Amino acid sequence: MKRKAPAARLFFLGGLLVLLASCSHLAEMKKLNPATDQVLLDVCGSPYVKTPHRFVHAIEATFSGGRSATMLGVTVVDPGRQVLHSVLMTLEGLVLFDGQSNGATLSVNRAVAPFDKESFAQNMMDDVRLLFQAPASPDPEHGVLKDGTTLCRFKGNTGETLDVLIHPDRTWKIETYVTPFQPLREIMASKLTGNIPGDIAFQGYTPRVYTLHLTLISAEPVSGESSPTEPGEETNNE
Amino acid sequence: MITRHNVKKQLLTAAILLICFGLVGWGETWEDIRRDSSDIVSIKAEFSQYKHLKILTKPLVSQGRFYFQKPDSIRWEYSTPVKSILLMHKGSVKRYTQGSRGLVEDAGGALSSMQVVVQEIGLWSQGRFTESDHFQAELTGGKERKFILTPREKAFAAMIARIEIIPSTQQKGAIKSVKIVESEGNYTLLKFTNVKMNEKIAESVFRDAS
Repeated sequence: MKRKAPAARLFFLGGLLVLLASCSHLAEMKKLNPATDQVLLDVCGSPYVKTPHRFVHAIEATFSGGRSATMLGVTVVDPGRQVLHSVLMTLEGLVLFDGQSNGATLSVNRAVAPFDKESFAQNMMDDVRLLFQAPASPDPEHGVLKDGTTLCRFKGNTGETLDVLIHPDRTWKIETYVTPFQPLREIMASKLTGNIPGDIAFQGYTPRVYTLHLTLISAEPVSGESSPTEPGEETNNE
Repeated sequence: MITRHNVKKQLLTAAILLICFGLVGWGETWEDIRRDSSDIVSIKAEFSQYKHLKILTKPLVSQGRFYFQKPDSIRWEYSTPVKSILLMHKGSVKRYTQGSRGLVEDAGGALSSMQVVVQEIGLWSQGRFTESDHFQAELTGGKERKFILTPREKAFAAMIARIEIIPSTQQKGAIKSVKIVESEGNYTLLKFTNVKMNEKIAESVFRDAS
C-alpha cells in the first residue's frame, strides 16, 4: 500500500481541523415558540436595544491593501418603527454619508465621493441594520454550545444564515454566512456596559474584505424628535 | 480610494480653519488684511469644535490644540474624542490617528492632494484670499463684520456650502467664530481659547507627532 504524500496528509489534517472548528457550532437546536419560549427569545435579542437610542462611535476602517481611515459615526435606531438613521463624518466634522433606512426603503440625504455610490449606501445600511436591529425572521432555532454559549439561529431574507451567539460573560457575536465556509459578516462585541458594547469588531467578507473597529463615544435613549440646534448656538456664542 | 478622498477633504477643511483663524480681526479691506498678515509669525491656541447635525439633539464636541508658524507650518491636534494629529511642515503633510494599533500614520497615499492644500495655505497665510483657485472670498460689513468663503469648484461645493468667519471686535488677530456650513442644520462651529500670538514654537512641534 502506498503511503500518502506529506502534502496530502497536511491537506487532510487541515481539512479535519476546519471541520472540527465548524463543529463548534453544532448543538441540539430547537425551534423557539413565542408563546412558550419568551425567556429564550429575550436572550436571543439581548444584543439589540428595545427602545430608540442614539449611538456615537469612533470608527477605524481598514481595507485590503492596508489602507485605513478613522471616522465618526452617529446612528439613531428606532426598533419599534424599524428606522435607522446613520451619519458618517470625518474627525473634522465633514459629513461623508447621511442615510436612512425605513423598513425596506433606503434614502440618502447626503453622500460625497466615494461614498456616493448606490451600492455603498445599500451595503452600509445593511451593515448598520445587522449591527443594531434584531433579525426580523420569526421562530429562530436555539441551542447551547459546550462552553455555555447560547446560539440563536435565524434565516435571512436572501437565504443566508444569521447566528447570534451570547457568551457566558454576556459578550456576544453575530455571524452571517451562506455556508460555514462562505462567511459574509462577523461582529464581536465586548466591554459591555449594561447591554451596550464599548468595543465592536466588525469583519466584512463581501463584496470586499474590510474591518471596522467601533469604539463607543456615547449611547443615549432618544425620546421625541431631534432638534438640530440648541438655543443660542446659532449666534455662535458657545 | 476612500482614504485618498477623505484625507484631501479633511486637510482642506483643517487648512481653511487654521488660516481663517490667523487672519481675522484685522484690516477693513483685503489690502489691509494682506498688509496686516505680515505681523503674525506664529499662533498657539486651544479649540473646541461643535458639530451640529439634525440627527443630534446637542452638538458633538471635539477638543484640541492648534499651532501655526509662518510660512506654512501647521499642527492641528485633536485630543478628544479621537486623538489625531495633522502635521504640515516644509512641504510635507502627515496625519497620525490613535487606533487599535496605537498612534499610527495614516496610510493614505494622498500626497498629491496634500500639495494642493499646502499651496492654499501659502496664499492664505499671506492674506491673499482673493487669489485662491478654490475659494471665492467676500468681505461683508454692516453691524457684524464677516468673511465668507465660497467654494469655486463643484467638488468642494459638494462638501461645503460656505464658511463664515466672524472676527473679534475686541482683540486684533482673534476671532469670534468660524462656522463651516455644509447644509441646512449641518454645520461645524469652532471656538478658540488661550490664543497666543508670535510666541516661539519649537520646530519639533510641526515635525513630530509625539
